[in-house]
Order: sequence, then structure tokens, then C-alpha cells
Amino acid sequence: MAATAYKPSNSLLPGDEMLRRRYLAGRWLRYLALAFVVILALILLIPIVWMILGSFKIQRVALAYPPEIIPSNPVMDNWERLLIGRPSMRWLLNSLVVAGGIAIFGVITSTCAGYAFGKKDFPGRTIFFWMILMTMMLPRQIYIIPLFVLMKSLGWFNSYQGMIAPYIVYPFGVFLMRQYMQSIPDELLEAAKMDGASELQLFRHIVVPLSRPAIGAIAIFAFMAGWNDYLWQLVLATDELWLTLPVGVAKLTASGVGSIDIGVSMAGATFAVIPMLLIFLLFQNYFIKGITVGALKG
Amino acid sequence: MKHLQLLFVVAATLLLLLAPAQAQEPVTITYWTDPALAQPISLPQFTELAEFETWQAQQFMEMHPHVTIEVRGLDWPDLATVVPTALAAGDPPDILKDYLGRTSGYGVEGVTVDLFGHLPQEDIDDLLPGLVQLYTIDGALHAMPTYFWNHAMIVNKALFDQAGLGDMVPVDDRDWTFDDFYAAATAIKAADIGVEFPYTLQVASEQGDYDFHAFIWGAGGEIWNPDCTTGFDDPKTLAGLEFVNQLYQEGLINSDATTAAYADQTNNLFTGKSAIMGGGMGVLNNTIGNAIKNGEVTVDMDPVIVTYPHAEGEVSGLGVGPSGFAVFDKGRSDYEMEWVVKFLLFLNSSESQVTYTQNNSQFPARASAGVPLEEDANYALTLSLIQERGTENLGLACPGFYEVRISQPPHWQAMFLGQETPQQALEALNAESEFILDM
Amino acid sequence: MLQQFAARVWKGRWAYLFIAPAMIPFAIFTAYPLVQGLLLSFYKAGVNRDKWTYIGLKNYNNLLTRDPVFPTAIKNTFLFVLGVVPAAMVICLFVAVLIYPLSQRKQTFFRAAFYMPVVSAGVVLAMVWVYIYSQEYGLLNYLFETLGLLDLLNNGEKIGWLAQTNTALLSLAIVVLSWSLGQPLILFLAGLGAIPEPLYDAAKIDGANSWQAFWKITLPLLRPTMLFVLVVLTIAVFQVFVVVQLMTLGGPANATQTIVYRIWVTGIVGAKFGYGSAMAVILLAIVSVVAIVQFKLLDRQLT
Repeated sequence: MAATAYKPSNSLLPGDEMLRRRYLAGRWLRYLALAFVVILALILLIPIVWMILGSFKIQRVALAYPPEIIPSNPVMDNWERLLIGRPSMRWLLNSLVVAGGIAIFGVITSTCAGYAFGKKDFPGRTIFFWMILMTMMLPRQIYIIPLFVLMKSLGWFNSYQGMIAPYIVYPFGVFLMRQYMQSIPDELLEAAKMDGASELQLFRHIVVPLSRPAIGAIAIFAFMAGWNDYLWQLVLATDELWLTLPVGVAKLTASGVGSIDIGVSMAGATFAVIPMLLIFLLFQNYFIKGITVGALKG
Repeated sequence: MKHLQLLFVVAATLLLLLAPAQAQEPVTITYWTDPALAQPISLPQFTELAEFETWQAQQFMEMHPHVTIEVRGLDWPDLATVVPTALAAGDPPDILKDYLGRTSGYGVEGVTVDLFGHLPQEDIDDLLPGLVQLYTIDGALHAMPTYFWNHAMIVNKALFDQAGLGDMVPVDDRDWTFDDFYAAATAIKAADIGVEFPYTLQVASEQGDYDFHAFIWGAGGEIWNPDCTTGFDDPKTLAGLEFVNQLYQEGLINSDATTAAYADQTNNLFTGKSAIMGGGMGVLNNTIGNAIKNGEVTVDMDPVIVTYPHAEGEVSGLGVGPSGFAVFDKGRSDYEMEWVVKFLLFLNSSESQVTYTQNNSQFPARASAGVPLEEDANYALTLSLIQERGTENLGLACPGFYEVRISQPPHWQAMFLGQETPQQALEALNAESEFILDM
Repeated sequence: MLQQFAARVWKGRWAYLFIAPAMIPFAIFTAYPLVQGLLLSFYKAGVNRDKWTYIGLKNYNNLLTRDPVFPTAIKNTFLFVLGVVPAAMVICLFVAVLIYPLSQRKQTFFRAAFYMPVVSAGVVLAMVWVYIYSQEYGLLNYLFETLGLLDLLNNGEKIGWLAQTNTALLSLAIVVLSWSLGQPLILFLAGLGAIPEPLYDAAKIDGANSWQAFWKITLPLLRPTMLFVLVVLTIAVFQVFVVVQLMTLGGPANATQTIVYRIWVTGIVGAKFGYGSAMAVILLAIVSVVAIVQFKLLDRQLT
């Protein structure tokens, strides 16, 4: 694995006129392409910006055409309605605990299972792996009723464990870790074994440190999945205090006979996105560098 | 001897005092409610889902401290997923407030308690007989009706006055024919006062269907026949549909009807892009009333209620839809059932109905609740229109109601977009509803 | 024979220990309810559990021969996959290669921009997009009008993006695409980071330009990542649901019906749980076949 990131060389030998010209032409093309990517990135940000701006608009302004891009008369009403008199902070806490729990369990199960699937040979390997992968292919709607019955018998309505349990195994994580493990050279593990390391020592001192980037990625991806899970959290929380943030926010915005208060929706949406954005920006470096997904063995 | 007597008296008194206390075993009742009461008019402190219902439950719990009531507010999409899931998993709430179109489905499936066996006769007798009939499924009262809403047309007469067309709005008898309506719509569009789409509706979801069905009823057609077969093969249904389609194709209906949400519809009305929309007392008082209060209305607003237009020789009845309280079968003890019924009767007492309907501008299901908004001229007018013109059959209690309901918008959309003729749309719907009702 | 098998099992005992933390909760909270859910596909199952009756293959029969909407839903689901997956792959690869040489700080901007739609819940984004696509007061029509595109495309009339059958599916696909870019991009960037620099140096010495280096080095070495992304993305897009539920309800005129939306609308809301399960089984069959094909390609790269 390359520790240092690859940089295309800019240090062409001076005097090589043909190469230089080609380099310059390439550079202009690169700038053009970069400009395109910048525009694309900005387009992707438009909905987010529009959402934030919308959270300061009253309904009449929100529905005006031509639209007021920057609200000339920004109001805090939507935010007040969202934050005052509603247990929004409790919802935030619930979401953090549930998504955090899912991330922690996801990392543990993915690392252990991914290691076994990627590096060990045992009867049933393919079958077990495919069983997990298949659950990625089925919509959650299908097992919601049997799962609901199970939760009832466990008495896990309105509980963190009830919201976390179905996500203890994060199939995407298992899959990612399996691919990642396959990229670790066997020799590394063999060498450790030669030195007399036990299986657990091998796992703790070699496998886990090597998979740190993948662990970081899985933690974040699983956290997102837990944060964005809607249906299960909605069904399981019968008490307002146990709603998660996205579910609670969605409830706020549905006022009355199918009408939608756009400003409140947008404030709620913004409120639900902020923690995610912070987490991404804080932790991105943990996983950006080098999740290789089997790249070395090409 | 005297002492013994005294002792006896004391013991008896103690027993008497203790007896009721002993009976007060704790009970927990779960109560799930729909979001029908949005922004109650005279109780502005309640702005969020289920706040009013929670307040009601608290009152009951203060009176009966051994009862715990867990209130859960569900918005419309949640009602459609959470309740069926809970039922199929065998863990429904004790009491559910929802509209007939959904509770009837639960009644047909046999998961509700027959309230005939539990409600006092005097309370049943107090309910409007037509509603009791509507709520009786296989001889069982599947839920206790609490109020009904009505659906008619709301015309912003101010815009017509402004264009000098005020006399085209039938304020005297509140009745117009398809021709009258067409002439009025064409005239207000041509008047160039900013009315782009005289009538606003939506066929993006099934929520807007009464705005649409009303024209079919006006032509004498039916979506549902009284025997719960569908009326898509009725030539009069086709006639009504062709009229709506003509309105759309001539630009008299909002061009975004295939995708509009309810907020788009009301926005059209509030900004004067449209002058007419479907609705009843709830829309008139709550939706429009609150919008004026919140400054969302940017044109002069003088809403009047009229019935939907009808073909020559037909009568336009009103769409009327009730909501009620269903009690789900959970194998509870007699004692628990007793308290569920007590809470139900509290929620659905005459006084509660008055409070509720006043704030929601609906009509109570109990005769003893009288006319809660007596001084509201439109309220009295609506009641007299219902008596005079009758009501239309919405098919709310028919098996398969929901699925036939959601199968329609795609075909109305296809018709508006010119991909199906009205005839083709109805033929397709006829085949689809046969399949649905057969399954 | 049996002894051999037992020996292999014994040899793999550590592996079983390592998969146990995953497989045990998996069995309880996923496999068991899942099998129960799938068995429902042979039942007529509504809200009343006491009335559930075994009906054999009738649900499948109805679904494949009589249901008027399901074939459209299958077709649209495939259109989503065929549109979104290749587009996401190409865009992400392109962007990854372009921004990879940039400094960390500049890269952060791009990563954040592409990842923003991923961190915003689908429910939330769909709401914003409905608002943007709105025919009457939407931002998109306003932008098109300002840029003169409305005059060019639609005689100056505002476009009903979600209201027309020929634009609705595309409009939804763009939303799905917008939140399908973040994860692949990060995986691609990571994959690029793992390509040893000496390979490029060697190529340069051999006189290869950057274009050739891309085809000869970057692409082949990135292939395992690409195939991984391909499988994951395909599986995810096959389950397209939220955009349909919140933005079009399958309309207009069924132009955006998808399989999972049908499962939700008839299986859950319509409380035909058995019928919904049958749809899910069909979806599972389709996705497994596609995934197995992709997987065969993927694994061949690795072993």
C-alpha cells in the first residue's frame, strides 16, 4: 500500500518542447474539466442552500414566483416552531445514540466477519456470505411485520436496543470489509503466524490496524444508514419522546389536511442535516485516505 | 353490645370506602389519532399534531387517576403504514380515530370490536341514524362515528365582482349547471384580472379525488354503486369525465394538476390564480381563515359555498365523509373494556363533539350536539344544502375502497396528458377494479 | 467423506468464531423475520392474522399475469438502474481522477459537496427537490427562465417537470443520481490513493502521456473498486423508493411506478402483506441474478 499519495508530476524536464506543448494542452483541458466539476459540485449544493434559505421564509414568500432567492424579510418563526415546545433535542439525542450504536456494532461485526470471509477458507463461506448479501437486496418493508412481532415479545418498543438490533449486521460493511481483506497480502499474515502469534493476537495486532481506513469508512457509512433509516424507527417509536430526528421532523411538517408548511419543512430538514455535516467534516480524514477495496491485486 | 354495633358500623363504612378503591386497578389505554384537527380556531394554543387530543386525555386522567392514556398522533401517511403494520403484528392501539374509508377496511377484516354490544343504547340512539347505518358492517358497529365533513365548491366571489361578473356566481340558490359553470369559468379567465386557472384541483394523489368525482356525480354518474360495485362502466360517469377533461384541455383547470399538492391548490386560490376550489366548512373556516390570519392571502377574498355544477336534469348532492373511533379487538378483560368504553364515551361525548366540530368546522355525529356553529351562516347553509340536495355515495365502507381509490389518479393523469381518452381511462379502471375486488 | 468435511470444519473453527458475532444477531433479527416475511408470499394475508390463508402460488400468478401496474413498475425500475448506475460510475470516476491531485483542502470542498446529498436524509432531500421542481413556483423553472432556456425548450411556458410522463422519470433519476455520487467518489479516491506511484513514474519513463497512463494503469488497478461500487450501487438503485413516494406517488400516469413503491403501496398501505411479499421475492430474484453476474466479474479480478 502506498503511504504517500500519488501526485502527477509537474516537473517535466525543461527543453523537451513536444512534451511541454502536450503538457500545456493537457493543462487547459484539465482546467476545463475542473471547471465542469466545480459547476457540478455547485449544482449538488443548490438543494442544500435552497433548503437553508427556505427555512427563513414564510409560506407566502416560499410560494412566490419569481422566487425571492434571499428572503427580503427573513423570519425565525419556522425555527421557533421547530425548537421550542418540541422535544427536538431529545430527538437529536435519540438519533445520535441509535446511529452511533449501529455504527459501533456495524464496525465490530463487519471487521470480524469480513476478515473470516476474506481471508479464511471454511465450509459454508459462500453460503453465509451470500445470505448476508441477499439482505441488501430486499426492501425492509418485507420483514417489518415479523420483526415487529419479535420486538413485541422482547418488549423492545420505544427503546434504543429495538432500533439498533436489526442493524447490528451491516451487510454493506461486511461486503466492503471482505473486499478490503482480500487486498491484504497473505504473506503478512503468514509471517505473523510463523512468529507464533495466536489467531486473536493476529487479528488484534495485524488485521485490525491494517483495516483502520476501512473501519473508518464503515463507521461513517453505517452511521449514515442508521441516521437515515425512517420506516423502522417510525413504526417502533409509539411515544413522541422516542422519535428520532428525521421522523420527528417529518411529523412536524405535516400539518393538517395534506398541506405542507414549506418553511417549517425546510427548517426541520436543515436541522436534521447539520449534525451529519459536522460529523462528515470532522471524521472524513479517518477514512478518505486509502480504503483500497482490493485495489492491489488487480 | 354497643361497642360491637359501633364496630360493625365502622367496619361497614370502611368496607364501603375501600370497595371502590379496590376496584381501581390501574388501566393503560393507547389512543392513536389522525391529524384532522389542524390549527383549531378557538384554541390557538394547540398548534401541533395531537396536542388537542393529549389535552383531552389529560382531563380524563385527572378525573380517573388510575387510568393512563398514551396518545400518539399520526399524520396521514403514517396512519396508512403504522396502523396496518401494528394490526398485522397483533399489537394495535385500543382506540383509533380515523376516517371511515380506513376504519371500514378494518371492520371488514373483522379486527374491530362490535360496539353495539358495549355502548349504552341511549348513546347509539343519539347518533345520526344515517351514520349508524354507514358504520354497520356485517351487523356490527365497527366504530363510533364522531363527526362528518362536507365537500362542496368554494368560489372567491370577490374576483368575480372585481371583473364585473358577480351575477354569474349563483349566490341565490347555490346551484348551477355545467353550462353555467363553464360560462362563468371562461368569463373569469377572459376577464384578465390574473385568474389563470378558474378551477384548481389535483390528481397527483388520491387526496384530491372529491374535487374530481364531484363532476362525475354532477353528471349523474358514480364511482361506487350502492351495492359496492364500481360505476366506471356507467355512461353518465363518462359524460362527467368528458366535462372535466374539456375544462382541463381548455385551460380552465390548473395545468399542474397532475403533480400539484394540496398546498399548490390553496396557493392558487390565495394568490388569485384560481377563483374556485373544492372544499367544505373546514376549508372555508380553517384553511382559508388561518391563511388570511397568517397573511398568505394576497387577493380580496369573499368565499361563498355553492354546490358542484350538474348536468341538466341532475341534482348535485354533497360529498359527506365521517370519521369515527374504532376499538380494536385485543382480548382485553371486561374491566379493561369498561374503561376503554368510558374513555371512548368521554372522547365522543356531546360536549367533546361540540368543542371538536366548532374548532374543525365539521358536523357532529350526535343529535344532542345540535348545531355547534349556529351563528355561522355558511354552516347553516351547508346543513340546509345537505338536507335539500342529499349526499353523494363515496363508497367509503366498500371492501377494496382504498385500492380502487389509488388506482384512479394514474388514469386521470393519463387523460389530462392526452395519453388516454376518457373512455379508455374508464375501461382501464373498470378492468382494474374488477381485478382488485376479485383478489 | 464426512470425516473430511469435519476436518475442514475443524480447520475453519476460528473462522466460525469470527463470523459468529455477525451471524447470530443476523439469524435472529434478519434471517428469521425475513424468512417469515417471504413465506407470507404464499398466503392471503391482511390485517387480521386469524384470517391468513395459504393460497399457494396465486399471488405470483396474479402478479405476473393480471396485475395492471406491476409490469410497468418492473420496467421503470430497470430504467432507473440503467440510467443512474452507469451515469454515477462515469461521473464519479471522472471527478475522482480530476480532483485526486488537488491539495487536501481543495479536495475537501469537492468531497463535502458530493457527500452533502448523501448525509441529508433521502426524505429531506426529496422534499426540497419537489419544491425545486414545482411548475408554478419552482427554482428550476426560474433558472431556466432566467437563462432563456424556457423560450428555447417550451415556448416560454413553465415546464411541469414532474407532471409530464417524458420528464418525470428523468427528474427523479437526477435526484437519485445526486445522492448516489458521494459514496462511490470516496471509494474511488481511496482506490486511487492505493495505486503505487512508481508505476506512473515507470510509465512516464516509457513515454506514456497521462491519457495513456489512465487507460493502462489507473483503470485496470481501479477495476476491483469499480466493480464493488457497481454491485453496491445496482443493488441500491433497484430499491428506488423514497423519491417516488415523496415526489410523484408513481405518477403521472404510472410513469414512475417502481417495484418497491408497489410493495409499499399495495403490500403495506393496502395491507395485502402476502401480495407484497411476492413482489419482494420477484425483486430478490431479479437483483440476485444481476448481482451474481456482476459478482462473477468482480471475483475473477481478485482470485
